[in-house]
Amino acid sequence: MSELTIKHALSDDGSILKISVSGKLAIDTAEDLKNLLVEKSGMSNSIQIDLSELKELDIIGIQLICSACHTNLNLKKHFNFTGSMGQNVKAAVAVAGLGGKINCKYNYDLPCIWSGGIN
Amino acid sequence: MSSPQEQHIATYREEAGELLAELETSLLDLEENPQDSDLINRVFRAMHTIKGSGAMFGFDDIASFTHEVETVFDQVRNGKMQVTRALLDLTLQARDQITVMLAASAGGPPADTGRGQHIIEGLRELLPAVVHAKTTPVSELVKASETDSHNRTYRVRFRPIPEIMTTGTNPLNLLKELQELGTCETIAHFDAIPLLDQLIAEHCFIYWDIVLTTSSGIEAIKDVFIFVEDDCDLKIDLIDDGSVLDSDSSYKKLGDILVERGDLSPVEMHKIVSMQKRFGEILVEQGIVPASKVQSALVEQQQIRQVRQERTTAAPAAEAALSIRVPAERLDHLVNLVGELVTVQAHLTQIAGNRNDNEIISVAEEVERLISELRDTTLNMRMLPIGSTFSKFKRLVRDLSAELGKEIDLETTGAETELDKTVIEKLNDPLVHLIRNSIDHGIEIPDVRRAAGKPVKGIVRLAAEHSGDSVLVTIRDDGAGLDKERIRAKGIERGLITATSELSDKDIYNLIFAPGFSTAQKVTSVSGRGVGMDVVKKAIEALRGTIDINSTPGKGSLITLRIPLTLAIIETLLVRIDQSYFVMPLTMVEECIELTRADVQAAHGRHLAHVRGELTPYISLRSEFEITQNQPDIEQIVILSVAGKRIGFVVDDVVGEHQTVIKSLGKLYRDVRGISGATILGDGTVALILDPGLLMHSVLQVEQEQFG
Repeated sequence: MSELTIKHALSDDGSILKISVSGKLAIDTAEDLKNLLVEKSGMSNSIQIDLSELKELDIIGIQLICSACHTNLNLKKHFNFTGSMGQNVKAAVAVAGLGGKINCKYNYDLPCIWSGGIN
Repeated sequence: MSSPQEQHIATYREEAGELLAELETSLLDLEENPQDSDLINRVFRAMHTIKGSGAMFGFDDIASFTHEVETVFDQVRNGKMQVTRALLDLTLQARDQITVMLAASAGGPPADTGRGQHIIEGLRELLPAVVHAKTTPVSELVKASETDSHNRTYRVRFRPIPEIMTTGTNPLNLLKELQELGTCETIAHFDAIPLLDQLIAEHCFIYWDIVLTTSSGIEAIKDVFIFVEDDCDLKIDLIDDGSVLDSDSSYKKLGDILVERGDLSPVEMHKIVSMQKRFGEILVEQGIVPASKVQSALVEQQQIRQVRQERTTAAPAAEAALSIRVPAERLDHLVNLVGELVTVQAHLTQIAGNRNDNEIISVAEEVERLISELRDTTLNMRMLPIGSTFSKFKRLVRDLSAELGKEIDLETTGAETELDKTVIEKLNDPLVHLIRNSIDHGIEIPDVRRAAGKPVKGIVRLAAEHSGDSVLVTIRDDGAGLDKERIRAKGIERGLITATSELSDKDIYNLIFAPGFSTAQKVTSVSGRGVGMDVVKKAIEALRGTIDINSTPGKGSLITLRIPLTLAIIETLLVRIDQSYFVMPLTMVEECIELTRADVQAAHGRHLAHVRGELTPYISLRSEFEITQNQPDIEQIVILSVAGKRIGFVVDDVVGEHQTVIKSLGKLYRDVRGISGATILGDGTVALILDPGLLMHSVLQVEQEQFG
């Protein structure tokens, strides 16, 4: 799959903005997700992103997610991930040097909530 | 006792010999698979080691000669040259030249330097022009290559320009490539990634610290970044050169690493050190260094410590090694001692039996069990895979088929089959003869093969497999097969058989073992002089082995050698005739039956016995060895299977199984046919080891001479 598909919706009680990303998150598609995140983050104080359907991820995609996480944590919002990442995505994260051992200064120097967190 | 240096030199010679054998095999394999990078690397490594170790132990001539060949293969390894027939021919010649140089260093005839020079010039001509002009002194290369084998650890900081991905470069691919070079820890730094609203989506803001332990060298690391040199900040530092075997596996302190990386100033470091807290924690707490950088430094510290720890523990293990090299003569001595021990043990068992003392019998039994185990272990130590001999033949087939204008492949199976070292050595010459015969007489020239509807390329198959206490070595070719009529005619011409003789196919084939027998219409440099098959047969028989021929006209020939696993100790059947003892190989024994005087009379003096409805010929060993006294009324026939035929040997008494330590007979008895050696029994009596095949043959010969 070479396209990026983004779906977003508020949870039933309106407290969580759920964003699910599928397909390819890379240099040629990342702008769309960035725009959505910039536009819609204000809808909720809690953002949950689902990358389980993501098939392809490059450095640009990785840093976009990192920036979104960083931005929202800066705004004292809750930013979290759901679902389990696919093998390709996990491999890209490992090659990039995230591999669960990175402590994040925006996350109280705890392991990265994305690469070192629940996934 | 030789000095350590002399021992090292001896070890070098041995190892170089093995490497040269490996080199030959790899080169021949490379001829079939010229693109195989593993083989190219193997060839390169073999020459590299011969050269490096040669220079180390003073074999400068070998080192500099090998260097020239290595230079060429370096180009092949780097994809700048193709493997060609000319290159392989020259490299094989170079390999032979090194073999001669090695032998010369051990007192052999001197190597022909002119030939060496000729090979080097040939190799140089093959080199691409640029390399040809650029020469490096061998000493420098040796020095550089020695350290190449060490694992070294590098710290790489890779900071691409933000626009790197817009030029089509994917940093993930570079990181992946780097990770493939060795043990790699990659730490990504995210502190430069802007907030979403300032983020230019297609720009890369991440940068990396990589700690890489590799044997590939700094050039390999630089090669990874070769196309992005202008699009990144790249800093590569050697942080562990892998050469020091330090019992202390510690590494720099965290603060030192950060200062060295430029992530912390020395002033800040001293300030932090003065506080009584963990260094990294303070740095992060006070925001002096981001957590990711502290973590990256800690990863470096941990990796280096681990690498050093592994090196420290691996070094003694490597020294202790999993195998040790023992001179063959020491093993021979050990086998001799075990042989003596087996004889003494037989004596002990006999004494224990005579005394009828249960305690001594029990000890004797225990000693027997232990010695039996010791014997097997000792004999196993001398076992070598026959493959080392096989690999030589590949070269033989290659060179000989080219010389004769034939296309022949050698296929080998069972190279891992083990045989006693001495047996393998003695098997070499007979096998050379047999393979040469297959190539020269067996396999037809391409035109003839084509006309016969056969594949142009002939095949010689060399195989080895275990069969009881023997190894079967077969040489099969898909050539024309033996020409029965021509052999028969030649046999009549030479007076080996009469024109009216009725012979089976096998009997006809066996004529080729007669001395000087040849059906070749022309004498070539390879064969046809009639020197060979009788020598082969003698050599195989000297190994207490047998040789068997099968052939199908137009389809090819099969020669089967049955060779005993060892020449030192064998299982035998001990028999007695009056006061004399004899042993015969137990594996040949089929059964024992009684022979009464009535049986002899019933056969009207013919040496034939009825065994299960079949007439079985027998030889009276009494008559053979002219023992006339004390002939018992009931004798024993030991029936043996000799070359596929059942034949009996009449003795007074069958004593039982016996572990026979083979002692060779003196020069005086060298030509006694039918006796292959002697052994000492427990009470000191000497028993002769019978060679049933030769015994049968000599009896037949005598009968033929007597009765025509």
